[in-house]
Amino acid sequence: MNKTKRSRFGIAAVLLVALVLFGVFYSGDYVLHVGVLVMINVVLASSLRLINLSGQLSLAHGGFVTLGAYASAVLLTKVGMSSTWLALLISAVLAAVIAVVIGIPFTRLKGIYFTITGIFFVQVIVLTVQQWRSITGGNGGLQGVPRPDSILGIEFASKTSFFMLAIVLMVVSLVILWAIERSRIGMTFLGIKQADSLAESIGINTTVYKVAAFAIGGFFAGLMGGFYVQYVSAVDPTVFGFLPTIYMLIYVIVGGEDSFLGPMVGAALLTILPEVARPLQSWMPLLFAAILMVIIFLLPEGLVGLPHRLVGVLKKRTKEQPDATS
Amino acid sequence: MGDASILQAVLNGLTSSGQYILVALGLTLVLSIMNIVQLAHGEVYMIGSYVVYYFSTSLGLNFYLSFIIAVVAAGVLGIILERYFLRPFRARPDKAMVLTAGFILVFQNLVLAIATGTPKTYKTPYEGAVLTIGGSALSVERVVIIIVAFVLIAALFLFIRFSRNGQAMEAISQEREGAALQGISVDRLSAIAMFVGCALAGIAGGLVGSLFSLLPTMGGTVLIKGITIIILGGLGSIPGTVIGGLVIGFLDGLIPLFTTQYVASLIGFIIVILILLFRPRGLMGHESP
Amino acid sequence: MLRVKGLTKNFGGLKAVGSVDLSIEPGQLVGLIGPNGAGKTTFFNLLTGYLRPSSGKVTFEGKNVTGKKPHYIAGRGMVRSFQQNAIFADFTALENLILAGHIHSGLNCWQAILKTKTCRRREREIYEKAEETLELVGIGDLANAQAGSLAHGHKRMLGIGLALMCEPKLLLLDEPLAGMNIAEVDDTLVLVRRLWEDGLTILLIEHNMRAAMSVCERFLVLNFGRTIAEGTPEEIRSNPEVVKAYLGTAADAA
Repeated sequence: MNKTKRSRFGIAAVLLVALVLFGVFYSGDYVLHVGVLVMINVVLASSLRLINLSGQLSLAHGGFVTLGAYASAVLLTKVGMSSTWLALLISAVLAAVIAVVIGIPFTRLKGIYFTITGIFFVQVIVLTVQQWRSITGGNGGLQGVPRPDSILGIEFASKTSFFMLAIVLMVVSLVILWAIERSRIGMTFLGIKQADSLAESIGINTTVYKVAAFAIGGFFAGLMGGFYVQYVSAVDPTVFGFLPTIYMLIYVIVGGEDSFLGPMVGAALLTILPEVARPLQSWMPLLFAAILMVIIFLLPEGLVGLPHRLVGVLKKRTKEQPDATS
Repeated sequence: MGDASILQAVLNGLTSSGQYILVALGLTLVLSIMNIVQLAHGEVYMIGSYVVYYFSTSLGLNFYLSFIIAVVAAGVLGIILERYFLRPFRARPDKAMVLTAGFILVFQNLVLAIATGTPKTYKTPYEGAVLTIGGSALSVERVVIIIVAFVLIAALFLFIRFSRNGQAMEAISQEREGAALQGISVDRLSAIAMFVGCALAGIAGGLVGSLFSLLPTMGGTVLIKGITIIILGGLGSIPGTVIGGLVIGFLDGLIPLFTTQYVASLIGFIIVILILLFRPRGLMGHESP
Repeated sequence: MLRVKGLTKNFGGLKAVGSVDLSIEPGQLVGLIGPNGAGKTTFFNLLTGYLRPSSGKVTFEGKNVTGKKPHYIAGRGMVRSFQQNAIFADFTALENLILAGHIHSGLNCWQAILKTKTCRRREREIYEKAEETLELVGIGDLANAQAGSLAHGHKRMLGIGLALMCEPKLLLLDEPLAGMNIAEVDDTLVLVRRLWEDGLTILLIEHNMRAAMSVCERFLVLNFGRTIAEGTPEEIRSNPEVVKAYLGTAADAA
């Protein structure tokens, strides 16, 4: 157990250092911007996956991101809060609190019914934001959201600074998510996913755990929403609505929902793809759907399972070779 | 107020109910036979509208013919989706639902690419015609929707009650494993459920499309309404869907007179939450979720 | 230890369990028997919080546990095993028991996530206890096998192991012998007797009359949801009502 663990940590550390060095030395704004988006989506997908770990397929995620985004925006522009960091924290906490409030009734529902209520939730959030024009600016959204306050003398004006901030937020989020998953809490989630009633019979309060998973996922969704809004300085109602929620789910499934790495791979790939394939921009939804279907049909364990599959195929090939010659 | 406005209000309520029930029936059929919520159901409705638009306006074909083409196309689409995409995942309804989410992207993107995002409109041959009853003028278009919807509801009801396939579907919706053991072909009935369900959505889209302008994204709200209705009326229950549809349809028709569409949607959401919390069976459902 | 008074469950018009009384003192091994459909599993579900009673009262160690949630009841020491879906299929046998052990380890979340020294020590203890329990139920050599791929008999034993990890005061076994071959039946009975001799109070549903007779010291017999007899094996064996109930079903089936 320790050797793989050590090599995993080693690889992660190396990648992290590489990422940091990249941010320090590279100065192309566009690539840095895409990098920030990738990191945001990585956290969104990973937090969505945590909820899935407890056996609940959530389509409510975009709602929490929107909540977090608007909480930050409104606090900083309308309410006039002075600390952007406080606003960010409040956004995340608010999203988690709302997740608990709606989670308590929602998590009682089995499978698809829980998923459906997520769809409703997102729609209600989006509609509310569109209606409440006085506070949220309606369809036009809010502009002029301030950049994050400077911290330790670092100003957040350049893409590089945001890139580094994104790295910090992403690493912190992933470390927390990883620690939770690795602990007995994560194991309990998995138990609940496999056999809800059985889990109850050994003393697991499944409601508390399911709500907790939902709330933790919601927290990070809200956090990313708040960060996004402080990054682009503006927000509108549909930027994290129903379709983006589906995209988040696609990131998880395409990457591999049974692996911690999966959502990261899926998010990275599918965030970069639209940027790299610019001419195909208008076909992105279709392309995403096609990729999703290919994965579901042919590679259900997700892209993270690809190396394993390839090795399997290679092994079969090399085994067949000697027979072929005889 | 007066009789005329009341009649108008009732007409509007019935029209909304009719279209919602058609859509919701499709959802509930698929749900009870295949145990999934076909998330792209609203998109099938949308495709129904666009096909009618395309054939009647771009190609200049007769409206009635375009309409039939749209309905058949929707039904066939349903069969294809079931056979090639959903059947392999019968044992994994969660994966199937994710696939249907993928369908949403495919259909919206395709329609957007082919027809562009500019709102489209088309006319029925009887557009503008008016039926005068008791001193008030009722739009024939709306009356047609109501008649078609309720005739189809009755037809579906008879089908479930009296035809062999229909009874088999009822059996499956009640007890999936038991029915399969009795030799009922879940394959065939799933195909029928998707065919009928999508055709109904196509019919609703084709009829209602003439009243509003078409956008590739118009399927979203329709799905939400459909889900609200089947939760309210009871999952898997056809009479429940009808009653649920009437309630939501009338709410939708009447609420905007007093407040906004937003409040109507919000009320729908609150209804869903209350039902799921206190009476998950819905008004007439068989079992709770 | 366990006092059940007037426990009733109605489903629509059907009375699945009708006004059943039961008393169990610590250290007893009681059998709950009756023909198929008599309401035995429903009774279990009512006791353990999986069904809400229509009326009646369940008291465990002086505390009222009627209608409480299953995890609460399990937490108080009344733990059951299942006939179906008795194990966590994707975990290994050992992981199954470790999960159960975690819940009763008394650790809080922060310790768990941060993997403090206390946590790591407790995890070692749980690991050892899980291994011991696996040995106890006879599947020690299958520790790293995926639970879902185990043979039926082994799955049931693992299920009992799960319940044991919860340190039950009263163990409820739901037809532990169902689907087992002769050797497995013997092993299970040996285990049940051993647990009982070690002081565990056990309530056992069993369809296999002979096996039940060989271990239980007392019986409660249900038919059509109602108690038709109560007493020692000899009393039950010679009770005409009981004989009629079992013969009756055999005759109907003929």
